[in-house]
Amino acid sequence: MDATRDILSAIFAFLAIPMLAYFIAINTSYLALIALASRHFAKHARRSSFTGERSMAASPLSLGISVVMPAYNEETVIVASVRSVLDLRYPDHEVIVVNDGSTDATLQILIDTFGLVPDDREHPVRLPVRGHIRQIWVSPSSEFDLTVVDKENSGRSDTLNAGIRFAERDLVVMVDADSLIDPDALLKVSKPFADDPENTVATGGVVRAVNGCLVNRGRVVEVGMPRQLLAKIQVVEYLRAFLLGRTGWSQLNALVLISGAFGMFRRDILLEVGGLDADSIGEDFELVMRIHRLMRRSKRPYRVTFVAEPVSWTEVPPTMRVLARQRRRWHRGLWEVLWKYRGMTFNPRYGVVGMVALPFYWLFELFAPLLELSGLILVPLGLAFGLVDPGYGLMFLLVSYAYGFFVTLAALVVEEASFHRYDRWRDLGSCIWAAFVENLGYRQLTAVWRLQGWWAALRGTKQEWGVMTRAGFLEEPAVTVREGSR
Amino acid sequence: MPTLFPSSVVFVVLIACTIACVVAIVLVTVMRLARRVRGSRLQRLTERIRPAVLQAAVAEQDALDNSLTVFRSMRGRARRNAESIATRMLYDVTGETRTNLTYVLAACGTITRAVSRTTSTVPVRRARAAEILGLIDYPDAISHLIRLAQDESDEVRAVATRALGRSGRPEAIAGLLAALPSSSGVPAVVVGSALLEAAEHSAAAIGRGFTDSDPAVRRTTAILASHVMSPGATPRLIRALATDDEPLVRIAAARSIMRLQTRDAVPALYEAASSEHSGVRIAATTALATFPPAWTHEVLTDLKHHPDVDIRRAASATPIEG
Amino acid sequence: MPGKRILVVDDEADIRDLIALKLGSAGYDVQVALDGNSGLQQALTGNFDGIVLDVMMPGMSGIDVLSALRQAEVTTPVLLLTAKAQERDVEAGFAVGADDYVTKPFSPRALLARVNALLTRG
Repeated sequence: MDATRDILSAIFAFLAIPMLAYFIAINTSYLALIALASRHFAKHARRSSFTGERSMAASPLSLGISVVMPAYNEETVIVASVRSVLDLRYPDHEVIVVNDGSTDATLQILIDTFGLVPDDREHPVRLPVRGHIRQIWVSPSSEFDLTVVDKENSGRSDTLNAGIRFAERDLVVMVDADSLIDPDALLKVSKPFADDPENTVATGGVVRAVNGCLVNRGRVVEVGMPRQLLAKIQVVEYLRAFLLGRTGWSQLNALVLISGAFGMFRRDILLEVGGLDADSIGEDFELVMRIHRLMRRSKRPYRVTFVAEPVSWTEVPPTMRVLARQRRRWHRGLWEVLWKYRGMTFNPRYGVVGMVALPFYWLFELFAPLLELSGLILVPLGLAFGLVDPGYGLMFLLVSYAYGFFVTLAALVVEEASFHRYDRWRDLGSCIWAAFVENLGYRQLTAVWRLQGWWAALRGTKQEWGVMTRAGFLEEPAVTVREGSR
Repeated sequence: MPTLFPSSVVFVVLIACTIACVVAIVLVTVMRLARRVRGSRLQRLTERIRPAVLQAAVAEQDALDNSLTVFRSMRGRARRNAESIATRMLYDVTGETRTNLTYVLAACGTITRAVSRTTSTVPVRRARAAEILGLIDYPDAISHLIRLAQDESDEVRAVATRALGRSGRPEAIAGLLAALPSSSGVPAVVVGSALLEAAEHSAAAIGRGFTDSDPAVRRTTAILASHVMSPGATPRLIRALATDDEPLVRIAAARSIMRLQTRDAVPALYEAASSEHSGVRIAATTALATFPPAWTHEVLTDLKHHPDVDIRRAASATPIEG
Repeated sequence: MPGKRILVVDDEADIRDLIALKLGSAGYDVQVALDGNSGLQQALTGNFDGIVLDVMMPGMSGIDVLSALRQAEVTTPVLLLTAKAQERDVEAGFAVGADDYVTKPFSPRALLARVNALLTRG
């Protein structure tokens, strides 16, 4: 007993200060990102009267955009999604739907609805694609520029690559068939390319939770907080981490993660890096890292920009089971990409990305669940062995949660000052409540899932994962939820 | 941990954090309350003022003066509200309604203020002034916009350039042409779109850009040539396609020729289809495939056996039905 | 054209009211609809002499409304309002049975003239 006590005591003495420093650093760095983001929003708001979006929307000179949309068993939503993408306000965009070997009627519905005809020309070979491409279908009418690529099932990344292969416009945007897109999305997300055509290579649109919103014919018409607590917490989490966090990174010119649900790229750069990595789980992250590496290595000036205005809406997992799977996958993806690009970390050659962003992701994203959980194990142990005074321990715990709560509240303040999309009083109450409850259980649970994902990656259960995800789709035909994108 | 900090320090930190949280909650609540109050006040104001703006916007000439009186006496919030409503409407209208709304803004004093803000030291103010001056139907605005198109701030230059285009006046063209070179810092898309908006006056002037030493100018010129029906554009485009050093200019020329559908360009396109630059090859072949088959049958048959798959593909494209 | 009934369907309040006011001042009896769905309902039941229909609306677009109308064999003359660069809208509009179109930015006065012409023709 005494020996255990001594060991524990030594662990405490050794870990106390680093843990404390870590906890202060992680929350403070989030606060810093939020502050950066709010500065950007303030600057942006003063310019809202002269964005030039209208003239872009009307100009035949605007860069053409290829919208690539992978579809796997989407028969219920596919027509609405394709219509809404075809109807986006933009002078020159084509839509390429890639049917990833759906086992339902997705393809037939597309052919019938849009009167598609086969295109038997040779396929371009710009990008390697694994899944066998069966047939290309095109719309014979000039009313809409629609191509459907029908291929065997090979997973999301490979499916996107197949779509990119057929993309003919200067910019390529990847969207998911089940996310809802605002009518001005292409204008907003392509704006950095028009403003800074020399440097902009990629932009990412923000993804928000559609749960709780009122939807009419594939468009979000009224924004609201979801009723379920689990979804509420995710809304707040998305605000803090994705909206504000990424805006902050973009301000530092060190954005390394673009959402797979609305990422726009220059086509020549996409082809140059070889498209998405079909083996990667964090394929969106991996792609952006590859672009950073290419541009830094070839010493070309470039920018990856985050567009914070809401453009894309996706359903967040309403059940623990799906959420757990999503978080395991995200963390596994995070680990694999960080490990793959470890050579860039702390490498001055890669600028802010190498010196700030990547170390941040290692320390505050990858290791966060490990430290969170070790704290949760050590503190009770310390209490049990009388190493920690109960009152003192409790106070420490409260401080840590209060700081975390404050960071989320700061994010809510910035959202209120900028976009204030959750306009009802009830929604504000919901947000604050969710920010509070997040600390009591949700944080800890996600930490467990994230560790599981990491562990799975370390054990190397590699190939199964993609298949498992797909199987999950089939198990739950009633729930129209997918893993979601960051 | 027990010896790390005295318990009093931790207690103070805890209190500080708690206070910070409470402050944040109060702040977000107050902000929302203020926004709500502002919003409903604005709504009441708009309900009162908007009908007057609408009335003036569609008024016949003889009734206009009468409906402007109300705006002359407006102050403070009411005036700002009228300004923003009229400005918003200006984006969607032309002709008589645009003129009428310009009178509304003049009655509000907006135009005088915008003109004086063109010399403000704050770039955002100058940019806003440029935006308003470009929306209205007001000949004197052009000289200010031409000056702002040379502003030291990139942002102001871009807004002024767009505004010059929207004004659609012949005097604007020289300023727009001056913004064409890449050194102007205004994105080529912005300048090009502005020249297009002022197409009736810019058509003749655009042709000169074909011989500019700046490839960015040549490229924008090549793109614009097919949109503004610049006189003599076709031979110049064909020359650019055949001889320009810059692949991006040749691509732009090929795309423009595609829009113009000129038979004379077939030999030049066919030659460009074997260029060493793949973008030029694709653009040229794509253009050929959209031409009437009678003009291109032979060359396309040949290109369908080209070693590059992209060319074979582009050559086999079926023209899209209308 | 006193007494002729016109329906104006546009989700943008400013444009809708400008048109309604201009047509109203010329003696038309103008009804408005705030979106595609209610526009279609009113058009089907309202016995109008002409319809001014915006193309770009959330939910049901002007093209959707028009094709539903023509499918229901309503032959009321329809004038479409489209954005300047959206040539496809014009093509799609004529394909489903539009009679005329006006591009934004537009002149309400010119629109009135077109409506007059459309109703005389029809």
